[in-house]
Amino acid sequence: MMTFLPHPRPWLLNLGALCLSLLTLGLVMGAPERADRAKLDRPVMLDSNSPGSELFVLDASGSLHKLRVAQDRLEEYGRFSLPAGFTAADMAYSLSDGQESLLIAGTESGRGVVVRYSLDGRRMKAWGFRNICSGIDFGVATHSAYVATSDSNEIYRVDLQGTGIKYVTRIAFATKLGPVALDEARQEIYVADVASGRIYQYLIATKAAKVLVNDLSAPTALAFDSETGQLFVADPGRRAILSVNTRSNQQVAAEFASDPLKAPYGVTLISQGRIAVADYRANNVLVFSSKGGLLLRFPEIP
Amino acid sequence: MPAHPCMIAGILSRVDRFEFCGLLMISMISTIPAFASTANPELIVDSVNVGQEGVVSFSTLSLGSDTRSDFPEPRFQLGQTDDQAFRLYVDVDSIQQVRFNAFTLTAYLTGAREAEGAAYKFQITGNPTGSFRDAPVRVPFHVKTGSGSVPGGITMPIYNAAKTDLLVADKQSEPIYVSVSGSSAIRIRLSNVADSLPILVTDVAVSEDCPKCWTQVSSTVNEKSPLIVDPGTSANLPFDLSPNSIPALLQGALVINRDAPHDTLSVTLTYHTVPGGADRRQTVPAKVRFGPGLFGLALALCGGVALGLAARYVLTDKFGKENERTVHAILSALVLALVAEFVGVMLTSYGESKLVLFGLDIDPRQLLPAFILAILVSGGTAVVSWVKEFFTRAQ
Repeated sequence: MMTFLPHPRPWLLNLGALCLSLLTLGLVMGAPERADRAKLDRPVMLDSNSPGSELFVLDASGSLHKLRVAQDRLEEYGRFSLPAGFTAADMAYSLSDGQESLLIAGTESGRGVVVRYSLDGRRMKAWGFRNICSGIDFGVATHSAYVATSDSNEIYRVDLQGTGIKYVTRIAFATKLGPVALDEARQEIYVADVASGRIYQYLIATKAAKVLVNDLSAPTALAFDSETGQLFVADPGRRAILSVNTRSNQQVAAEFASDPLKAPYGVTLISQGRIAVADYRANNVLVFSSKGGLLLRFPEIP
Repeated sequence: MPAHPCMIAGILSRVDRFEFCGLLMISMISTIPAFASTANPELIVDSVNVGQEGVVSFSTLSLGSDTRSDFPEPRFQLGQTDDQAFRLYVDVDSIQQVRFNAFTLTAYLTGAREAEGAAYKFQITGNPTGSFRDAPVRVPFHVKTGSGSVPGGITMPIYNAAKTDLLVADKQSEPIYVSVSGSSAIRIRLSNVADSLPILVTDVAVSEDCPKCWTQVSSTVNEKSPLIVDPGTSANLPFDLSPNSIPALLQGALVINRDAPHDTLSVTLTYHTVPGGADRRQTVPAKVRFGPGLFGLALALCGGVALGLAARYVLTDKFGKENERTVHAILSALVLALVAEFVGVMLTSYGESKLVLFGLDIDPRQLLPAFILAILVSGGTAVVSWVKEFFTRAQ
């Protein structure tokens, strides 16, 4: 004998299908966000575009995260990976001939190199150096990048519209040059000495260099605010972001933000005068107000 | 009682008179150690050679006096000046690697006598050059006070992020055998050289040349359950491998030479030295050969025996020798094929012997070689001669 089960009502089936679809949609849409949280692992350096509406964060595994800066949060909208053989030391956002790009200074096969990447991760151009490239910053007006080398303590100028690399200077009393910041209006270069805990100021016009500040532990990133003349310094040794008023007669490194920083490796300016910090050990990007108050972090703590 | 203005004026008038004597007295007093220690001592950490392989130079930033008075081991490593007047404590928990191949740590300088109380805090930054590996070394330092400079030494870890590949993986003499029937546990032996720092493996990622050949490749080693490789010792990195049977067998079907891998796993290890070393990544290749497992081998043998006997019958009109019963011939073929397979597997797996068939060094644990071996053994001289003749004609 055969028996038949009663047929379920059509509306019940439709409701079930709708619930299933919504659940699937929710899972699919939720997946990238969870992946992003898991992926921001040991951020090393960062830089922003000119208005500070986009932030580019490079982590220790060589993934470059592209973040959109909103009023109250940072949103990741893309990423690409650097080749395994390329070790990045510093990076700078550049805008030249209408082309947005990221200039990344580092080493490749044991030689210094500056590579220009388009924002979608395409390698556009590379400049080779004899020495290890350790710091870079870009000047929009001159379409030039200034590059520091850590083993020869030299500074070079790379013209994005030209082809050559020009020797600028050698900081004779430096131990190990690292990150670079450019004051384009005054034509001054600030370059940090990671080994001796100093920042040097080099005046391009007079070709003179001097020690700007020296009470640092290991300055690993610089960011210059052209509006206020403040130079922000990431110092993981002191577990703090320090600021130096370059317009003042007596330059001292004052603590700008320290709590809750664990290992601030990178610093840059973003929109509304805010400061973004890459905290290596906290696996976070933290955003501080211009007064040094913590505003938000990425990824957000649930 | 408030001082009278005339009294103050009188004292001030005498100051000029006693100024020279006062300065002389102060300078004399300051040379006495007990008083000299009232000024903040200056710490200078000297550069240190690490064998012939490199140098670490140090910069020291004074962070002033600190209230810390307890320096428990093992968090704090102790060194002292040669005259035992000062102790230097390095906080190993504070060690951190920074960009541009440098490292920083916090150190405290105290007077040797408990009563002296105050500690002076310093942030020390190490700047390595060369190709040495992370290691504990004796670092010389000086403490400068008003009374002079006192040398000392401390054994502390130093780091060099430029030196890659701290682990040494045993070289594979032959591919690892992985049965396609079920999961297999394999181990990669990792060594750490002596006189270095312990290494903590915190993550293992595996990529395969043939991803479809695997259903799962995993290791129990992770951040919560790391693998420790102490200096001068070795440790086994465990893996669980679950092959995808059919693609794995197809991948290895025509790769008969037993030295040739069917797949190569690229095992990427994430590790750091402890305490405080930088994260490093090192990729170790693991060559793998797939095997059919016992059931598969048995099937291949039975199939080979059946085909060998059939071929023998076609060539000689008999299953066995003259007057040999069919059942006896079949059983003999089965037993001989089984013995040949067993001997072949034993000799090639546990000895230096090779199983060479028609000039090819074959692996009897594989499906096709076991099948061919069974054909030749059960087929006897008639089949072997026919095959030889066939190859001779073909050449």
